[in-house]
Formats: sequence, C-alpha cells, structure tokens
Amino acid sequence: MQTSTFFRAALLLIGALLISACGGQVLGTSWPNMSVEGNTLYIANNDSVHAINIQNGTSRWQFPREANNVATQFYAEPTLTDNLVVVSSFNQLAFALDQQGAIQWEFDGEPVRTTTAPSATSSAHGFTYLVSGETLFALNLENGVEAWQFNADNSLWGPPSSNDDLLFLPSMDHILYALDPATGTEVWQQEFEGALASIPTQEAGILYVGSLSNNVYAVDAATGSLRWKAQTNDWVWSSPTIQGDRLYFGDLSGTVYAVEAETGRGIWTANLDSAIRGATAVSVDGAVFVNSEEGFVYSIDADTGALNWQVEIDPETGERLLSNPVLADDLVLIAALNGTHLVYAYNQSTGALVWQFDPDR
Amino acid sequence: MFNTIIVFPFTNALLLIYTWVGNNFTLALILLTVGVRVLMIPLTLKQQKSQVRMQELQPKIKEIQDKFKKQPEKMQKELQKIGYNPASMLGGCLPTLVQFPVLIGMYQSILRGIPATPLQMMDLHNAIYPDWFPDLANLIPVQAQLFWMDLSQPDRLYLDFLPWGIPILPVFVVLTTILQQKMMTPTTTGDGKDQAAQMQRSMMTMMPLMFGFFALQFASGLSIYFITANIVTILQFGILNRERLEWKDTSILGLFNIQFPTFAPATAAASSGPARNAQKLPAKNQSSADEPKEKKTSVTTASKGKRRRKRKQQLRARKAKAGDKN
Repeated sequence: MQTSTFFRAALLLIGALLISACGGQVLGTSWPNMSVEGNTLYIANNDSVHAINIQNGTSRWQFPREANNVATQFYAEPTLTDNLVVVSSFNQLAFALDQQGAIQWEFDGEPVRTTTAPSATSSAHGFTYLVSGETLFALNLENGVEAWQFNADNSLWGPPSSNDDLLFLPSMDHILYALDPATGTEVWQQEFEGALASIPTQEAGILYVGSLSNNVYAVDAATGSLRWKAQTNDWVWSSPTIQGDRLYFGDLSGTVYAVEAETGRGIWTANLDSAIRGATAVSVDGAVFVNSEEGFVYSIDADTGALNWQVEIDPETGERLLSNPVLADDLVLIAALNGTHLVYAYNQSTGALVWQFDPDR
Repeated sequence: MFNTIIVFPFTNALLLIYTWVGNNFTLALILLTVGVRVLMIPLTLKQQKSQVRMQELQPKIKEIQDKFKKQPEKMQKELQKIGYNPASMLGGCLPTLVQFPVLIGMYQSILRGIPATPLQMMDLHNAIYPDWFPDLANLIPVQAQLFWMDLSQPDRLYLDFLPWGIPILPVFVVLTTILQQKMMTPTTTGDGKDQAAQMQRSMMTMMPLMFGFFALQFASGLSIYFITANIVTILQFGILNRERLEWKDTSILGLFNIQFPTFAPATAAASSGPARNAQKLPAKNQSSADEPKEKKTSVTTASKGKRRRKRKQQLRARKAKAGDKN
C-alpha cells in the first residue's frame, strides 16, 4: 500500500470512528412526567428533573445541577419512596436522589451506550423496578445493586405494578407478565390483542389495563384470567383510575369513559376536542380532570360526565398536553410539551390559573 | 401541509407494504424506495439527459469560451448556437431539487413507521389512515430489527473486543454513492485546472462523505433508503445507457480500484436530439478553431491516457512548426 493511500485510509478510519463515537444516537423523545409528595412536585423533562414548591411554583432544586451529556433524556415519572426520589433516563441510567436532590446511588444498565429506549420505574418489596429496552431490572432500593433481571420478547414501556404476592409487567408484545417479586420468575402470562404501554392499575385482586387494541381489560391478579373487556373508540394508552366502584379512562379519539369496575359496563362517556393520552385524575370532590393533546384542560362531573369547566393552556403556542394531570391540595397540575411554560397550576373548582413554572426563569 | 402531502402517505404506504410482506420492515422499505424511484423515472430521466447533454457539450463550450474570452456577447451567441442555454440547463437541476422533499419525507416516514419512543408512537397514531389498517392492533409494535441492527437507530455493529461500534451500512452508503457518481459522471475533458473539473472533483469527494455522515448520524432505515436508491439509479442508468458504458478501473476515495462501468459520452454522430444539433453548429467554426480535428474525437471516445498522449504530440508538432517558421 502506498504511503499516501495509507494516510488517506487512516484519516478516513479515524474520522469515521470519531463520528461513530461522538454521535450516532437518535435521542429518545417523550413528554414530561410528574409525581407529587407533600408540598413538592417532581417533574422529569428532557435533560433534567425539577423539584417545585407546590405553594407558589418556585424551584426547590434541579437534577443534574448542570446539564451534561451523560445524564439526559429524563421523561419517566419519578418514583417516590419514603426518603428517595428515583429517576431514570432513556439511556438506561437510574439515580436515587434524596430530598435535596443529592445522588444516593446510581445504576447504569448498559455501560456502552448502544441505544436509547424508553424507561420507567416503580417501587415495591424493597426494590426499585426499572424497565428499559426489553429488560426489567430489580434494583435494591438501599444501594441500587441489581438483584435480578427479566427479559421480555419486546420493548417494555410501562413499569410493573404490584400487590403483596406478584409483580405485573405490561409489555409492548401484547403480554401481561406476572412475576415473583423476589426472583423475577414468571408466574403466569396473559396475551391481549394489543400492546400494553402503561402501568396496570391494581385494586382488590383485579388488574385493569389499557391497551393499544381499543380495549380496557380487567384481569384476575392471582391467575391472569380475563374478567371482562370494555371496547373503546381508539387506543387506551394511560392507566385507568379507580374511584369507588367506577373506573375512569380516556382514549386517543378524545373520549372519556366511566365504567363499572366490577363488570366493565359503561356509565357515561364525554367527547372532547382531541386525543386523551394522559390518565384521568379524580378528586375526592367528584371531578375528573383530563388534558387533551391539543392543549385543553377539562374538569368533568364524575357522576354524570357533564363538563364543569375547560381552559385552553395557550392558544398562541398550541402546546401538546400528553402527560398525566396530577392533583395536589386544591390544584390540578398540568405539564406541557414544548410549551411556553413547563407546568401550569389551576384551581380545581374554578379552573383559574394559580401559577406557572418555567425552568429557564 | 408537508406532513399531509408527503410524510403521511409515505408512512402509510410503508406500513401497508410491511403488512403485505410478512411484517418485514427492511423489505417494505426497499420496495417503497424502488416504487418511489420508479415513479420518479420521468424526472430522473430528464435530469440524466440534461447531464449527458451537458457532458457532450463540454468540449465545445470550453472551446468557445477560450476562443471568445474577450467577447462575451459573441460568446453567448456562439454558445446559444450549439444549443447551450444556462437557464434550460439549470432546469436539469429541478429533478434533484424535487428529490429533497422526497428524501426528507422518506426519513420522516421511516422514523414514524418504526416508533422507538412514546412521542414517535403518538406521531404514528396521528399519521395513520385507520381505513387502511383494519387490524391496526397487530401492527404495533412494528418489528424494526434486521440482524444486529435496530432500524430506528444509527447502524453500529458492537463487538466485545471493540470499545466502539462499527458502522457497516454507512460504509455501503459511501460505496454505492461513489459508484453511482463514477458511473454517471465521466472525467471532465478540461486540463484538470479549470473550474468545472475542480468543482466536479470536490463534488465527487464531498457528496459520498456527506451521505456517509448522514448515515452515521441518523436512523439506519435511512441508510437502507440511500443504498437502495443508489442501486436503483445505477441499474436504471446502466440499462438506459448500456451502449455508452465502458468498464474501467474506478478509484474508491483513492484507497483502492475496482472495475466498474463508467459513462462515455456519445460522439456527435451517435448523439441524438438537441445534442446532435449542438454538434453541427460548431462544425462551421471548426475550420477556424485552433484545435485540430483529432482532439474532437479524442475528448469524446478515447481514454484519458490516450488523450494526453495525443495532446502532447499535438503540442510537440505545433512547437516544431513554430520553430521552423522562426
């Protein structure tokens, strides 16, 4: 090989390797997700997690303190335990933070960054459960050490829910897995017509799970046998909310449903302007709060399905509302995707705007 | 608007083909790319004809430009006489411009078609035509794995003993882009120092590297599109211009040579249409042209080495003649 050819080949190889190493990932994208504990709202969005004072919408802390290239793509709902806030990123990292936002432990599911995949966490039985790609990791809540892992046949987008005996893991391969929480061994599985993208709701031995097959299913938690299924107009992406003997959920056609939890029989439906991706939030006063993709927030009477009030977040920017609304004190908290502000707090009774939070201000 | 006209139809077509071919996204992508390239044949043909015509006119244009360097008006008239009209030649670029929205649309539809993240899944839901997919639930999740590749991510082959992934598809993108260029663009007839030749050389180096860079950075589905589109273009050009192709040693970024058919422009007699008319007019000027008749044939048919030898002989003969006069 001639010297010039050798140098040319070496230059190309070095250039290609540098570009391969520096770039080469289509970043995961999702919408912000929130959790509330006491007076603090935790919201994961893009490259950071914020702790916000619910009283006035001011920032308590931010994680990471400064943006960096490793800890990015925080979209999963923060998991709250007695003294920890567990957050995960779409590049298979999980961090346990204390109440001041300091790292207590961290977990790296894939030291070589080969891909980006949606992640989510939940907590039970002394573990934090992290789903990423096709893997469920059980991490010791004390120190973040991996106890076991379970591999599904397809992507896992929703974290597992649990009761005293089992974990219930939804999967995009249409299967709901029941696992032993101590070992990760499969106990039963139930296949449905569509992908399962959200955490199953568990109440009194029954699991309620929405599906991308235009159905909501009720399943016996002990055996996995189907109790009933309720047909919807479009995909049900969010987890159904149970209040009393009723189940509330929305679908991507913009319809909100109230059904009997025991039988799945429909009680009322409300047709709204656009897709309801997020879950319903039901207040003790009997109001169902939902937000729609095209930027509206609704309060609906839980008994009748009649509209209490509606507000449009910002008609100018056309923000997309895809997150789950969260209730705290007398507020309904709404997270906006790419909006003028990240969080909007409305009075539950009147729909009046109380405060808004913008991380850049 | 762009989504409605380009991205949504592509996305739905891609997923419809995906269901027809047994849920194989790579095959669906290849078939859609071939389909799109077939639909674009009228445009690409126009582009290729314009390119060929331009190449055939190059020696004449150069000759006229050299001859009437100080008479721009006369130069324009002479250029028009041979059928060279810069405005109409620019029309040949139009098909290339049209291909850009198609390229962007294809990329968008690849990302939507294989939703790897929740937001992409939401966008897919908004893009899909429900009437086309009565069994939509079984379509999700779309299987986007091909061997080691996740088509929604840039291609990297990770081996245990290497800290970085090897980009396999981007290498093929560069290779097929080079071959496509080499086939369609014969070496310029200039002396290597003129602007056109320099531009052509830099384009032929930069374009494959640019496409390679895209392939490194974006979802590997885009690489499948690039490679398929390049192969289709090579086949299409090869079939339509098979009589004008010559097998030659082709250099790949100066690293190694392979035998590959490259385009040799037609002679005046063999050319057709406006190009044929274009060859007739300068014939009148030929007697007054400085270059002897042999050069005309040399630039169109003979190999580069042969041309150089002939030109050297001509120069030597001319110098000798000048020496005799002195």
